[in-house]
Amino acid sequence: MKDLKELSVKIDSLLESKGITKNAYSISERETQEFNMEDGAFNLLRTLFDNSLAVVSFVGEKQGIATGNDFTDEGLEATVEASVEAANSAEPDACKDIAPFEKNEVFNIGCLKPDKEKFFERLMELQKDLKEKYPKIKLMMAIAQYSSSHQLYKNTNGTVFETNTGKYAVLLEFAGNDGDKTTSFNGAEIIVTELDKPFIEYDSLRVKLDESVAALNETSFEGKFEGQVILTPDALVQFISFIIMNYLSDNVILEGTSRWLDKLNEKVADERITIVNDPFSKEIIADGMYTADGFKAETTPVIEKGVLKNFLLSLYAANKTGRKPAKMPGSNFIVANGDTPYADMIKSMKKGLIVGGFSGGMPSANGEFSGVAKNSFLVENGEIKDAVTETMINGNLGEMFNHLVSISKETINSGQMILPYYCVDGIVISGK
Amino acid sequence: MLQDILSKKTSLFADGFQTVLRGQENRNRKVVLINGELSANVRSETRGVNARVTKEGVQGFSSMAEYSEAAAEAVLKAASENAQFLATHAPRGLKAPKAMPGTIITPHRDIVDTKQKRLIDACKEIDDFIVKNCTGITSRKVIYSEDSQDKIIYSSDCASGHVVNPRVYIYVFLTATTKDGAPVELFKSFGGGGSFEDQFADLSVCHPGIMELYKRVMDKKEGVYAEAGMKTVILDGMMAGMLSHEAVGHTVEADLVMGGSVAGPNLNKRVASDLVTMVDYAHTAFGERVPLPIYLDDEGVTATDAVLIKDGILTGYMNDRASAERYGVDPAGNARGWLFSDEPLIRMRNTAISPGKDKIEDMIASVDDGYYLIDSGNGQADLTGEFMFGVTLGYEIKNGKIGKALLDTTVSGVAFEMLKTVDMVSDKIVWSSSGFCGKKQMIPVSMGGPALRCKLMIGGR
Repeated sequence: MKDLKELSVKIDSLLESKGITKNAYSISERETQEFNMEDGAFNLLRTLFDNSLAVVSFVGEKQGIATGNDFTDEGLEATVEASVEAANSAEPDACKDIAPFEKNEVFNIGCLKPDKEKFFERLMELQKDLKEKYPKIKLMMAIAQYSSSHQLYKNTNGTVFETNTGKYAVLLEFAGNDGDKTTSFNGAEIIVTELDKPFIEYDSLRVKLDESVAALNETSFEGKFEGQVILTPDALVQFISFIIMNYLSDNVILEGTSRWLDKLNEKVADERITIVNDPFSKEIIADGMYTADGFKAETTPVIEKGVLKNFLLSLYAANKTGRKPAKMPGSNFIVANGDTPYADMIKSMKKGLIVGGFSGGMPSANGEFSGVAKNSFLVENGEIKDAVTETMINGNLGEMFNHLVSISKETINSGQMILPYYCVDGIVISGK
Repeated sequence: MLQDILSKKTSLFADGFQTVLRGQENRNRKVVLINGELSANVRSETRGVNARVTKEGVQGFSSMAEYSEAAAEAVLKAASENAQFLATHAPRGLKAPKAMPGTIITPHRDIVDTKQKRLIDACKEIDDFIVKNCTGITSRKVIYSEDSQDKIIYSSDCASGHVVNPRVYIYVFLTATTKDGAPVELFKSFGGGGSFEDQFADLSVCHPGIMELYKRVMDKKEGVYAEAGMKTVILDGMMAGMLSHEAVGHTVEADLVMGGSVAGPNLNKRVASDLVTMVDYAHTAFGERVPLPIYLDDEGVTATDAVLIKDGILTGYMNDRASAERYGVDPAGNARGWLFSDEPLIRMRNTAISPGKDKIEDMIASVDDGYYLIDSGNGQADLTGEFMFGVTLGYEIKNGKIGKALLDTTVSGVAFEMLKTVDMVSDKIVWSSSGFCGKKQMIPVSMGGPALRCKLMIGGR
């Protein structure tokens, strides 16, 4: 491992020699050990040693960014020089900036001392558990890695952040399979810092495996109707991402195409909906503790009791549009649960779908979406029927979050997010 | 371009192992103008070296963010230890793929760097053209994006070589607002293989395309929702390309066939009407260089075409060396990785349905009540062959004539059922090469096709 502080001294010196008195940069080193399985068997073991350097240089109010991974003296010089060339080529723009001084801190996230032997044992155990307990699951691919990184951020306003991160992540891709019969793709991710229990015991995996086995019994229906759907946590997070991209992110605010442009502190969703980004929660592993602009992370309510509390903007977009930047380095969403048991949500549904995933185009700027309901089940008169195939759902993002029927008491913790099940109304469900 | 410092390290390839040593540099340039203002201005380069070592059906891989002889030695050692670890603790005992020695492949292109100022000025020139000529739009975005790969590959028992693939694109996004205040957006990409001056020495090449995009976004501003249900549609070339890639291509990647895809039990069976032939081209199609030419893959296999569907019959899969051994065929060079730290996976290259004999005008005239679907924002497919595409540009067809534009919608179907409904195929192929495909890693891909008349499920209100 390189000494990042030593590299930092070299980068400071290079920037100073080029007369760049305003700058920010981030240096990181990452080491990854990754086991891969294909068709249920271990087939690949990878060991990766990676570096990265991102330099933001200012020439007056002109900003340029360069990234690279070469930590030799020549490599550092080339990346710094590229950032200066980009800055010299830009137009002055006072909205390009770096965050003001933040108190210097060292962050330690996750598990910094891995037990690699135990990790391999847990993976062998998972392979065995899948074969024995889920004979009708075809494990297409598994990627299981322990990665650790050391990162240093520094800017000319005096901020220095240092982060050490380590975590285990297991990503599985599978399908129900019985002879020539195959279900849709399904997948699960487990992110943990401890190896204290078998991977098969994590809800985020078990629920999805059960779903794929059940999906071997499938049905299709004709015609269309408007009804309710229950969004599983996996489907819900897809729709939350759409909300962010369509209404809250840099591009749509800069372009002025967000339909929530003037909705800050106004009601945009049912009052039972609260979505908070909280990297400080003890129940999850933080994505990061500071933003690319140099702000220390803060707990960020996105929607609180149905009211829009924050746009999720970079410093540039915030300055450009006269709004506040989001101090949100990653996606650590915690979505408030409700008081309805999941079983009761199903019992009270006359006709609708449980949607396990959405395969569709990005919703249009006005929020209209349409796509295929994947890993989804028909519900009739309060009972789960077979899995549906060739079934599309259509609706409107904004309207959907206002047509909430209920929120489950139960939640699923993926390791980085915690989400419940949502039941929403007014969705058009069309079969063949 | 990369200097060859790896050749002398082939002496470290261990006996009894199949080894590939790869040095690689990726170079990216990005400029984004939103409503005339520069919002992104980035130059990026990553380089490093990796080794993959195979023993008895298991593989060890290692990469290091350093392009040096010492790094090459280190990754060869780590990859060998990884292969040995799996061979000991999780043995598969598979037969080694057969050797496929070949000639040394030399670069077919060079990478020419362009100053950032020239890139920014080009985006401004395009933006000025839009401001002058596209009145009535509410928002505009111009993006310049360049990504190039430079690889040196040494294999213990296949071919070796130096391959270079530069790509440059300008994307133009136009947004208009409907009378209800809803924004509608369309985009078009310009460019392809080569460096900036190869594609954009004269930016007026983009003007006709921008004016066509402008007309279409103004049509879409007055657009209507599609009527949901099973419809007769004409998929234009870009959509047929998406169909080739998403709906069929993924199901015939051999790793997904092993995972249970619908293509497994359908080999040598009819999966499409006899008007449909589909090929994953390596570097040349219909006498011309394809948009993403691949001459040598990252396992050292000399690239050839992979014929997937011939006259409606599923004839083959796309393979890497291991899957080709399993299915008893020769690999065609489909194993590719995106970054120096990526191991090669089975990936598509230039996947296309072959053109037929029909004229697009006759195809449209043949539809009484249906849709003409021209462009897609994205697409996904499943093991079952069930697919969906987001449709960003389309028109109604009423009594054989083009009607109103459509607002965004989605189409879906099951590939091997839907392809059997293809009853007209146009005589012109359209390629689309600006996209990436995601499958563990992102990778640039190219796709193409003629217009097809078929039946599909369309989403709507």
